[in-house]
Amino acid sequence: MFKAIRIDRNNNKIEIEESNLQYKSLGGRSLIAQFLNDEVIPACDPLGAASKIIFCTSLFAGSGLACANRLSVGAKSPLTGGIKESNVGGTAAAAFASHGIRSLIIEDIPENKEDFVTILIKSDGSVYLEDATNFIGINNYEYVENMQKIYGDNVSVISIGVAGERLYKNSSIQVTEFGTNYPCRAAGRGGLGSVLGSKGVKGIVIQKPDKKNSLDISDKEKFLIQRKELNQLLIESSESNPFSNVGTASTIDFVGPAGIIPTHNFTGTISKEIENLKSDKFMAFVSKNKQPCQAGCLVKCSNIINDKNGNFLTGGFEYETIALCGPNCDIYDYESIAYMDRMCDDLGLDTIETGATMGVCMEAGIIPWGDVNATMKLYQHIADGTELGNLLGQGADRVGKHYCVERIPTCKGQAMPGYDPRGTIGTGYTYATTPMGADHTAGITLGEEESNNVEDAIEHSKMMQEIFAVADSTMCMMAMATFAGHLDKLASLYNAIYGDTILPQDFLELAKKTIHLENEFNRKAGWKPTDNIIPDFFRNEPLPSTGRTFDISQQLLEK
Amino acid sequence: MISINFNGLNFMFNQSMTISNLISLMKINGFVENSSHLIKVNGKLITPFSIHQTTISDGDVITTKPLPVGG
Repeated sequence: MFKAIRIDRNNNKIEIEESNLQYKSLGGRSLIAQFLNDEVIPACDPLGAASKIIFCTSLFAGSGLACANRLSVGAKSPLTGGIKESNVGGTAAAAFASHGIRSLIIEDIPENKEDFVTILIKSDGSVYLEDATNFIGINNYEYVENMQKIYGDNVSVISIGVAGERLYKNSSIQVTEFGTNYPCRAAGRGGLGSVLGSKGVKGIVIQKPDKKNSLDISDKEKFLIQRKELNQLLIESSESNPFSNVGTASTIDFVGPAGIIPTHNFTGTISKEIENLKSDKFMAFVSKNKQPCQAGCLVKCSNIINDKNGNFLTGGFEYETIALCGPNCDIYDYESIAYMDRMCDDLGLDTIETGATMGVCMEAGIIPWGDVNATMKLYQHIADGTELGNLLGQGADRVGKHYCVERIPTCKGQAMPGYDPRGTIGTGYTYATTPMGADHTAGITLGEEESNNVEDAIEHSKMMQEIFAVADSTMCMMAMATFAGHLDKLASLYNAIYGDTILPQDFLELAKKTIHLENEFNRKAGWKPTDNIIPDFFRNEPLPSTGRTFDISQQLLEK
Repeated sequence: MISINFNGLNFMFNQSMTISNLISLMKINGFVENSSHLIKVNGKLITPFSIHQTTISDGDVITTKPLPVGG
């Protein structure tokens, strides 16, 4: 069926085993929730020997279902202290699937902290640990370039930059993108780059297999019919989808004037300069849009940004990055924000956490508001690993506390993404209550017709948390926006592949079980209902555009 | 006959059908743009997991809005 690779970094033992049969119906986030509950002590030090990190593909990876080649990364988060699943597009999940690999698990830590390796999955399926000490201190773009020179141009690479090596709590794991082969896709949230760094793993390189593994399909005829129908639905819905036609930056057209985009460290002050970031300006700035981040993507919400000389600068230039690194810091020009995105991807930093950290620094008076040069100097401090840089690498919560800032926009130690919780209280409820810490991909409720009613907001949040738990286990959330209306077809596709008889409502059971397991892990790790907190300033300061505060009671957040 | 109100418009059907089939019908006829929605029946949220079992009844008031997705 599927292979699981298990690597012990204390003795460098590599085992290639058949996937646990009990995990057959699990993929992505649902597999991570089960695995971490089964094998990791929740109270462990996330960067210590007892911690484990797992990379796994979504349930439909390798099936040819559009947008299904999603890679999930899971571990105990050093940022939130709870369970973390962060997923990413790019080439890695398809590369895993082409080798028949469902998961790769890394256990324990090396005795020598300077002992770094590259995990190499060769074209014949064999797995090796290659010495990577020469690549310590090298960032993602240069590392990938080196891996391509050594192992072939078309390798898929998962890697960390210096942020992960230095165990920064705001460190990402980068993945090469389909088409460009640059490491501009990020499993950004939760500081999982530092977990990989603590294992002394600089990267994972996957060569194309000599013989591509194909899924063992139970009912091929039914499978082909269902897959075609689902992919056709996605083609149709993408025709009018702004994420397909512009990119996720199109979100600014709504959240900018509505005052929901974070500005000036989540004050919500609307600047006229938001006009600089609307879709028409984005389209004039972007070098190429409608870029698929993974093979077979039909949504194509990604893009390519070239510099003034026409050379590749960055890709996957997304709304969240723009919101947090831009308006949240009073910065309103695409070129500057794109350079920040490149720097984050190269160093291996989460753009959301980094933008929020810079906003907190501006609030603390460390640098002036909207000062691009001063901001870039702080990025350079992180790159250089100065004392200040080492502090900034720990994320917004720790930096805010260090400078005694009162307005720190975090939940469970993780920075809020690009939606002010006063402007979308359902999303705020998700920030406070999800097992993932402040994370829009755990259940956003934003919409032009979003209800202002507290009960409605909570009901929507809970439902969206379940839908996203299914998305994170099966495919890219962009596709779930279409497939959620066709879970009967998705269940039928699953049955055709696995020879099972699940019903659409069984996906709900999968979601409920996943969230339950995550909450259990977090409870054992020390999380309490009283930790479900939205920072006070969102309750005390009205959002300028609506006059509303975040008014879901603390009692309801703890329920 | 089953009479329902769908996003403010009145419709009549010869027989009941699932919410899922109703949405498909509305999509084919251009009353909704896509087929993935947050759906309320008589003010109560219906999850996408249950639209294939839940059927419409006479007098139902059904509202839909696009499923939110973050950037």
